[in-house]
Amino acid sequence: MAQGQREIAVVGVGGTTYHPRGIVGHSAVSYHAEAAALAIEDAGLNKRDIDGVLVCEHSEDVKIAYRVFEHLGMSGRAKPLCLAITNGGIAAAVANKVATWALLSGEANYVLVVGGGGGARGRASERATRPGAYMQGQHHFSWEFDVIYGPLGAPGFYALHAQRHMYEYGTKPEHLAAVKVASSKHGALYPKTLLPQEVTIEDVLNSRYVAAPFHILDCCYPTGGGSDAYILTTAERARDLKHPPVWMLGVGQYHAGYHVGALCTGWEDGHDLIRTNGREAADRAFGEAGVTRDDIDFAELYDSFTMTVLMQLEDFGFCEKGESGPFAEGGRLELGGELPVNTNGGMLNLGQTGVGSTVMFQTEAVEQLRHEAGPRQVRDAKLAVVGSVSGPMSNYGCTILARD
Amino acid sequence: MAEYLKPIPVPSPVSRPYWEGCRRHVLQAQQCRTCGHRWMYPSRVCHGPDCAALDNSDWVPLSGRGEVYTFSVHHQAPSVEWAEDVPYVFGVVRLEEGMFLSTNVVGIDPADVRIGMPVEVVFDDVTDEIAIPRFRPVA
Repeated sequence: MAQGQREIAVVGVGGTTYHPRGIVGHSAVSYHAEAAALAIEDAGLNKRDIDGVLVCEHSEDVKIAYRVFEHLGMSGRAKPLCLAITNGGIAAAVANKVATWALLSGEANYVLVVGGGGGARGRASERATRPGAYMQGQHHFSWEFDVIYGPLGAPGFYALHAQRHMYEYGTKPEHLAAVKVASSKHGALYPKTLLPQEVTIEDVLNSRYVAAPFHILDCCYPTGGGSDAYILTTAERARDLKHPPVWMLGVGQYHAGYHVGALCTGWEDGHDLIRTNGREAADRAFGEAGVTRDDIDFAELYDSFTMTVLMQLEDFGFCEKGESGPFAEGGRLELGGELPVNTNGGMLNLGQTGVGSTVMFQTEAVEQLRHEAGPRQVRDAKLAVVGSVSGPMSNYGCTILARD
Repeated sequence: MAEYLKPIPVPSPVSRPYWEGCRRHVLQAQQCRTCGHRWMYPSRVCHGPDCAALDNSDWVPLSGRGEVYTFSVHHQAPSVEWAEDVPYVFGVVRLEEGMFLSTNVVGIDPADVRIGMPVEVVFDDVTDEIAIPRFRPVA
């Protein structure tokens, strides 16, 4: 995208109810189709206008994008773009980039992005009672070199970042807890939230250890299932639709691989386990958008764990490196604070769908920028940053959204 | 030997020399014959930053010493096979040679593990064929 140009817009958003864990309502395809139908209706589009379908999910169903397309009854018209984006929590940022390329080249006119999926995973503590369950949710880690050592899935790996960050920068458990405290206040204002109770620093610190330094309240809440969706189009098409466009001003993504040993080793460009390439993703997004960090009114940051949010705050450049802990204190991340973060409670409170509800952060930012967020509305919200991360904190996406 | 119920590595053609070394209680890494780069985690292509040499490496022994780079005390088991082990330590060790390895830190109360602590490899003979390298504090 040309710097600062309003070329791509979000014109429709939709989301399903999130089912609590333990309730397995629908298949992933069914949730995706529901969210997509709601987004199409919200945009005021005819279904036949959608000519790009990007499904953000890494389920074992490698043909999921085609199945969503079929479930929506779109099979009557072939599409130039139909893709499953399987990068995990960063997938929505990848989708934003792919959609931008498709829209600006004229390859597609209206691109549907949908993500989330079915649940049935349940909490690790429930899986743990079943022999052989160590592989569930761990298919993306190395059996031969990681799983043999008994890591507790994603919490086990992200805890390694948190521990090292605490060691190098003096980050405290209270700093991590402040992220949960802020988002729990926001979640309490949002009707869809599955964990609507506000919590205190003490509540987090007194909750049981899972993978220290993480307590259970440092971890996001896996749902039984749910999906979210949005539709992207070009500036001239966006002007004629139901809602004022929300502009996608910039998108950056940067990828560093997966294995924790490789992350610790680091790269020639100075990245390692706790100095992540989130900085490059953000620099690209802000560069494209032609705005500064100070211009941002609120942030929707991927919150698989409390630490994930701290890492984005500093590597996206909202505070100095290593200073995200103190930055999270004093209500700075709360509504009315300097930088409200995760205004609907995020995955820590609202719940996590599929294997990372990457799309939800973007749809919440759009509702805020339309000023339709009701009691949780950020006052005068004009400019938002949406962060996305795939684990273990190795790959980053950053999207900047604006209203007129 | 008591039956080992946790997952057991299944060596691939690429990783077999690594596990053969472990069976002999020798920790090894690959070293590229083209550029000399040494790396941990078996692969067919050299991990040197500017080298894509294919199938052209030797397995070389390492000292087996290093330090704890980061860790997590696990209070919740990923599955029933670890239920009696909690709390235990999953972590990453930085080897003297500079490579990093996921592992368990053993032979110490988990509450006493610290980043930077000197450790050495200890091999856990889980079957006749497979020994898993873990690390314990240097005496």
